[in-house]
Parts: sequence; structure tokens; C-alpha cells
Amino acid sequence: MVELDSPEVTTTPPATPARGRLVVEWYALLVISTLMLSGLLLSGATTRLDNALYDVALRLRHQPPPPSNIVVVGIDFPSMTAKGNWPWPRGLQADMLRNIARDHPKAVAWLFLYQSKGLPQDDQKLHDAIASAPVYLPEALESPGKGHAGILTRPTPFLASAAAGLGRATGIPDIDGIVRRTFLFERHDNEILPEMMQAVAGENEASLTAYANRNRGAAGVSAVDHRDEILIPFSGPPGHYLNVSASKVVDGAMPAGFFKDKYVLVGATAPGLLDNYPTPVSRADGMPNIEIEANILDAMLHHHLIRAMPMAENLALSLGVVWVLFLGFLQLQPNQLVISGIGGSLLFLAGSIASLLFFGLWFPPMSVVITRSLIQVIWSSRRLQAASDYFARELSELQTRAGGAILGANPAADRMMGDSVSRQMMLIDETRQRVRELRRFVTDVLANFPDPVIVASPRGRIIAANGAATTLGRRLGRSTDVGAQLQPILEDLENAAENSQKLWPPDTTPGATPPRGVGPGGRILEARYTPTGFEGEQVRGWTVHLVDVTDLVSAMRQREEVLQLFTHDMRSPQSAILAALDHKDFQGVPRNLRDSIEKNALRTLSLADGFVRLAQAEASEYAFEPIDLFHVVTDAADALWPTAQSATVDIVIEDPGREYVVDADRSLLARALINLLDNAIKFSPAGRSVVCAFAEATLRGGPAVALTITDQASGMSQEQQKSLFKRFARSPGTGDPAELKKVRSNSIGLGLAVVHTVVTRHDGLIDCRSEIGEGTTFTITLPLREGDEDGDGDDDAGDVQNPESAAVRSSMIQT
Amino acid sequence: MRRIAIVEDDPEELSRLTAMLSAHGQCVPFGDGQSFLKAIHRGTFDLACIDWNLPEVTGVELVKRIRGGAQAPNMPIILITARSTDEDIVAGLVSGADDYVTKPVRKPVLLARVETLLRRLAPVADDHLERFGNFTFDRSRDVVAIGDQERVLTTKEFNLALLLFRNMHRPLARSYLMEEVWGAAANVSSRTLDTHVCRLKTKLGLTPANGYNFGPVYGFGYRLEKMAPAAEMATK
Repeated sequence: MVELDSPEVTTTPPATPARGRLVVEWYALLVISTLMLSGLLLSGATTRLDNALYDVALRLRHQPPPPSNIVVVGIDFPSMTAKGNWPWPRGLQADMLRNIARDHPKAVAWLFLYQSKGLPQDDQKLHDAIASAPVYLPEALESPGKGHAGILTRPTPFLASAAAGLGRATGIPDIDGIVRRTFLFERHDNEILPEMMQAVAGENEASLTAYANRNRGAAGVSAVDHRDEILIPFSGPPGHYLNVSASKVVDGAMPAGFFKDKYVLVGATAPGLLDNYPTPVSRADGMPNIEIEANILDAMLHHHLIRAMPMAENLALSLGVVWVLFLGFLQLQPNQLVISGIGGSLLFLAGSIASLLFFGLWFPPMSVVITRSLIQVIWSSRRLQAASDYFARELSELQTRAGGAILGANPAADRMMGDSVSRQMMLIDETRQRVRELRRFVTDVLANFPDPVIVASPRGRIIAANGAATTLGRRLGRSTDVGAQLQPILEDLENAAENSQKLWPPDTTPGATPPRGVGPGGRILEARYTPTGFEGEQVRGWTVHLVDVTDLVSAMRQREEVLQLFTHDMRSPQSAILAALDHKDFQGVPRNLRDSIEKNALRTLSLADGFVRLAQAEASEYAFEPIDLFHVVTDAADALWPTAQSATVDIVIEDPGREYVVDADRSLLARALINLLDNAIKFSPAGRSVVCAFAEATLRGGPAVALTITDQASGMSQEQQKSLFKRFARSPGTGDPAELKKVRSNSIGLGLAVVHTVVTRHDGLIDCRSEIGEGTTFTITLPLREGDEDGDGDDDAGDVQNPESAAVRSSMIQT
Repeated sequence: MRRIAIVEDDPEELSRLTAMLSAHGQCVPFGDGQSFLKAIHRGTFDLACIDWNLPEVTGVELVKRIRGGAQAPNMPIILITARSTDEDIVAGLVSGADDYVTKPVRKPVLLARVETLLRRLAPVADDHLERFGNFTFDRSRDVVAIGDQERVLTTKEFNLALLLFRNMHRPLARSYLMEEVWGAAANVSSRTLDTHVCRLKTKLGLTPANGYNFGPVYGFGYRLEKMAPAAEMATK
């Protein structure tokens, strides 16, 4: 098929660098997101968002009906109208408390802070009232700021001594000024200050133990150490609890036993008394502190407190959630990623709310949501970028690879301008265009192929067929359309042949001779199969090339016939002539006539042999094997011994001194050397010698052996040397008539052509140097067998190097 | 008296061969392969000279049938052929012929081949000395004497030489030589055989100058030949 890759470009692309880069970026992003999330959580940067969500979630909370045992007694606007502006005289206050205490309430939270002493009789009155019931008084801890000791404000010791207990009774406003949380305990100068409602509810001891357990070993922390934070579970808007106006209590207008066994919270409710705070359930007007405390008490009594998740756990949970998302980054498709990202965030939000609603545990989700969204956006864009880079690189590589050699450089590649996306689109456009051109090119090449070419699937379904194949199919009455079966066409060819060979399925054994069939018009078609597929993969199809070998076959047949003629038909009558000459009836014929007949018969024989040998040297398969050149030369010399003997010419083979192992066809190389030696002997005057010598040489940069065959004949002119190796060229000598006659009678003209052919097919060179009157030297240079230069191929090679045996040999040879 | 079958379709050649061999045994002529095949059912022959180019059944085919048949699978056969190429010679030897002679047939060549093959029929003397002309092989000592001069050979060289002398004039396949001398299991390169042949040539003087032709049968193996006397060669 056509070589589509331009050779200078490597065929295998490097292992996806885009993916490698993405993995690195993934790790980088993981680190960044971890830092970012930790930063967001620890700095409280998302508190406002988290609070907003919390407020919404809090309203969704199941709101229990106000319990009947909590009563809020408020210094409200009507009370102040009736009894005067707050603060009322302490005597009046004592009256009010006494009126409550009379009914034996469960506990009274008296949320007025008596920092200074009042009139002694009033204080005494108040002291007595406080003492008459379990009354709790407030204390206040102000936090001026980090690093400063808190300022603790307490009631006068006289009043405090009458109280059942002291406690802090303030919510802690968040940075948005809204009160959502408080601390069950605060630490001040190694003193632990409880939230008042805890004392009121009688939970003080249990809470304190739990607190101490939780904070074991936390001594020595800052002076104001906010601990044991809870979120206030507001059960309803202001006025949720049973509300009684203080003036009514002062007046004793309440039914007797109204406060019996109730928790009574007394404090300011009138907006003007500045004891109102905004809460999630009362943003606009705020909620009186007393009602906030009522909410806390309610939660304490009914155990529905909300706890904030501690920071360490919150951090772990948040990081865990984000890291899970990261695992998804590597696995999920882009659209899955978006869905999972949004879904995951919503799920986390829902989880946060559900945790608040069902478990009373709050963790702020917004840091996670924000980190997640941001990271997802970054990751998606990195992914897109990586994909885009990959496409761009692959496309530009495809541009060069896809037929770069055939279609030339891409003109558009250089003038890529504008925005990167449109540049890529342009690149895709160009590539598509080029692929189309390439396809067109391949189709054209296929179509213009003179022989039928069919591309078929491994199962023999036609994928493509060129014009010649279609014509062939039409003449056979078979379809060559895409999808048609190839087999019927091949079967037709098989059946038309005399000794039918199987054409399908293709014979995949290496070196198998392609099978032949007979097509329309008696044309002989050779089916050549080329497997189509990628390197190392299974066969994806076959390209079947039906080559018309009719002319080749007939030429081969003619050649065979001619060879047959020469080897047998022509030899036989000559043999018969020679045999006849031996017959006793010929004894009477004159000697010179008999000699002439014999000589000519022999010449005809040797001509035939020469022709056959040249044909073989040119056409036959050479059987190469490692051979020591010295052996071949001695064999050739031995074969020519009788000739040399009768011409009284010595063949001298000089000792090579080492092995020269060449890859050679024993028979053909010997034949070539015989021809060359024979030639040398023929032209040598009697008594002279022909010398064969070996020398190390180089041939095309590799080690080689140079064999020289030198005669002491008359030599040749430049003209003669030029045409020496041509067919039927003769070596007419010096032109003196006697020698010419000798040449005529002996030379066959084909000998040196055989030598030249054989040496050339051994990858060797033959060279001739000759001077008239100086003799001729033929040099045959043959490449040495690789890795065998020193020749010690076997156990006894050492013997050959033995000087004694070498001496014996050379003396034997030079006889 | 030995019976020698001559299968040759050309009457002139037939009579020539008969004339050459008549001194060595009773020559029985056959004009074609079929009649010879019939004849071996009835009688035995000590040797057969078969022409390659026979009508109907070719010489090579005939050799194959004889070797594959039950009557005389071991009969010594010489293939006589006008074909002179190495491939043809190998094809003939591979078909099962013991030897071949190319046309034009020379009497001394033919006689030497015939004698070698007929000698195979004679029982081998179980003596540790074997004599071939003036070569004496002492199997007990691995020593070859030429006349009264002893030549020292390695065991392998001795075995190879003995094998060649015992089968004088017979082409021996390379694989056969290697198997006989080195054993079937040995992984010997063909170059090792070449080297041994070359050394034997030198040590025993098996060169044309000494009247021996020891050379390759291309594509097949080696043959050791005792050459016809020099005078006869020269007239060729």
C-alpha cells in the first residue's frame, strides 16, 4: 500500500504528556484547595454566608409549643407607664419579687444586675425577698478584647449572699450583631462562670462535670476563654413564651398560685430599656434578653440544645468532602463532574441543615461549597486547556504525518492567527481537508494501478477495489462492490488453472511462493497478499494484488526449454559423435580429421555448458554458506589439474596464512574460479605459472578478502579489458595470427561473463589489471562473513594455523 | 559371472556400453524401464546402469521405483546422463542412484565406478589392516601408511579417510560423512568437514598430481577418485 507517514517523523507519539501534566496539576490543586479550605474555615471568612444559611435552617426547625412552666415577667411599656420609668425603687422591686415568691415558683431568674448598694432598708427588703425563693442573680463578664483580662461585674455581696446562685445571662452577638450563640461556661481568673439558665434548670453540676471532662488539661488558657459554645435554639419569635406584665405582678393582680412550680424569668422587655438584641427569629425589632434566656432555658429543660461542631472535626469533615471530589476529578467525564459538583455541594448543604434539624449539630458548609466550586472551575478549565493543547499538538503532528511527504508542507500552518479557539478550529479544518486529499491520493493511486488490486477484510469481504479489479470482476461475472465476497472471484481463477492452487485464504508462511490462477483470456495471475494492519497487531485486512505474470511465465518456460535444449538435446548428439569416433570403424580415418571432428564436438559441448552456466549464474537461487575461500580455490585448481598438466602450466596457490571465510555458493564460486583459472592457463605460454594469492582488503568499509589470479601471458590492451566481462566477448590476444587461432579454438566467450555475474551476486568486485607483455592480474574482492573474520569456527581450526602443516600444504600445492 | 543390467533406449549407446562392460560380467540390455522392472521380478542383477532419459519411465523414476520396490531395493545403480549441471547430478543421487556418469561416457571412468560398486558386494575383510593400492590403513592405531611411510592422523581424519577409501569413486553426501565421522548428535559446521578434507588432501597427498582426484560434488558432498593414468587423461 502507500506509505502514508513521512519517514522523518517518528511513527509512535510519546505517551500522553497531557495526562501527565494533568496529574501534576491535580496534586497542585489538591494542595491549594486544602490550604484554601483550611484558611476559610479558620479565619471564619464565610461566617456571614454560613450564618444566613443557619438562620434559614433554624426557622425550618420544628418549633415546639411554648411550655406552660416558663413565664416571662417583663418590665414592659405598660409597666413603666403605670409605675414610672425603670429602674424602679428597689422596694418596689422587692414587692414584685415577693409576690412571685409567694406562689413557690420552681426558680426565679431575676435579670437585674445590682452593681452598687441601694438604700439600706430597700436592700434589706430586696435581700429578704431574694432569700424567700430560689432566686438567681446575673453577673456580667465583658470581654474588652484579646489579651486583656475580662471585666467581671457582680451583684453586691449582700444581695448575692441571698441568691440561690449567680450566672451569666447574655447571648454572644456574632460579627453581624445577631445573637445566635452563648457559652455554657466561661472562665475568669480560674473561676468558672456558668450560664445562668443552666443553674436555673438545675443542670449546673452535670454540665460542669461534662465541661471539666471536655476541657481537662486546658488550664492556663487566656483569661477570657470562651468555651463550650452552644447555639441558641430559638423556638419562636418574641412573645413565644407566656408573657406577664411586671406592673400586674407588682399590683398582685395575678391569680394566686399562678407562679407555682414555674420557672419565672423577670427582666426588661420594653424596647427603650436597651436590653433587646437582634436574633435570627426577630431580625427587625430584636428580642428582649429575657426571652433569649427563656429560649435557652426551654432548650435546657427539653434537651434540644444545638451544638456547633468543634473546629478540628469540622476541618476534617470539610477536607474529607473536598478530597472525595478530587478523586472524582480523575475519573469523571466533564459533564459528570459538573453534575457531581453541583449535586455534591447541594448534598453537603442539605446534610448540614439535616444535621441541625435532626441531630442538633451544626457545621458551617459554605467554606466547602465555595472551595469546591472554585476548584471545580479551575480544574475544568485546566482540563479543557490540557485537552485543547493535546488536540492542537496532535493536529499539527497529523498535519505533518498525514501525507507530509506526499502533499507537501501545509500552507496554512504558518499563517495561523487570531484567537486560540478559532485557530484550533482552523487547524481542524485544514486537517480534515488534508485527510480528504490524502484519501483522494490513495484512491487515485489504487485506481490507477494497472493490475487488479482488491482490499479485503480478514474474512474476505471487499473493502476497496480498483478499476482493473472491477473489469476483472465484470469479465468473470462477479461483483467487486464494497461488501461483496472476494472468494468467488479467486475461486474462478483457481478453477480455470490446470493444477489449481488454493488462492484463499492467504498463505502466511514466510517465503511461500504466491499462488497462481488463470483469469479471462488465459492470462496467468499471481495473487500477492499484503497484510494490512498496524505494527504488532493482528491482520486487519488483506491487499490482494493480482499480478499478470503471463509473459513472465512464458519467458520462464522458454528459458527452461532452452536450458533443456542445451543440457540434454544438444549434448546428446555431441556425445554420440564422440562415442562414434571411438568406434573401431573410425580407426582408418586420418588422425587429423578425427581430431578436428572431436575438437569441434567438444567445443559445442563446452559452449552449451557455458551457456547453461551463465544462465544459472544469472537466474538461479544461490545457496550461500560459510566457506573458507582457500578451499574453493584448491578445489578449482584440482579440477583444472589435467588441463594445466597438458598445457604444462603450474597453478601456484600461495598460503593464505589464515582463514578467509566468505558467504558463498560453493558450486558457482568454484565454477567462476575454474573459468578464470582455465582462461589464465589457456593464454599462458608453456612452462609458466598461474599464481593465486590472498590478501586482506576492505570492501564498502567492511573487511574483505582480495584473491588475485596472476598469469604470465601476453596481457591485454585497454580496449580488450573494457569489454572483457561482456557476453560473448573474446579475448583476442595480441592479434598475432597463431594466437588468434588458439583463441578461436578454445575460448567460449561466456566464461568471464559467468565470473562477473557470480562475483557480483556474491556482493563482490572483480577487477582486471593488464599490460601487454606483462601478464594479467584478476582481483576478486569478496566481503568476509560477519563475525567470522578470524575464522576459528570449530575445534580444529588451530591445526590449520600450525606452521608445519601449512608448510606441508604449500609444498604439496606448488608441485 | 556377475549380471549387469544396462537400460538404454539408444541402440548405439547400448551396444557401446555393453562392449565396455562385457569383460566385467554378463551384460543384459534393456530398451526401456518397464521391461527392466519386469525382469527384476524374475532374475537378479548385481548392478544396473540406467540412462536418465528413457521413454515413458525416466531413469530417475526407475531408480525410485527400484528403491521403493520389494525385489531389489539394494541393487547398485549407476545413472548415466547427458545432463551435466550440478542440480541434475544431485537430483539423480538423491533419487537413490549410487553413482552417476555423464555422457559422453569414458570407458575408464565407467569401469572405475562399476568396480567400486561391485567391490561393495565382496565381504569386507575383518582384519585391522585395510589396503587400498599403496595406502594401508591400520585401524588399531589410526595410522595410514603410504608405501612404507607412515602418516599420523587424528581419529576423525583417519575415520574420514577410511570412509572415503572404502567408497572410492562414490559420491558421498556431506550429511552422511558428517554423521559417520562425527556422529548424528554432533553439531558440526560444514566448514569443519571442509577443513578436514583439505587437511587429508595435504597429509595424504590426495592431489591430481599423485593420481587422486579428491573434490566436491557440488550441492551434494565429496568424492575421492583414483584418476585414470596420466597418459589417458592427456589425450582427452
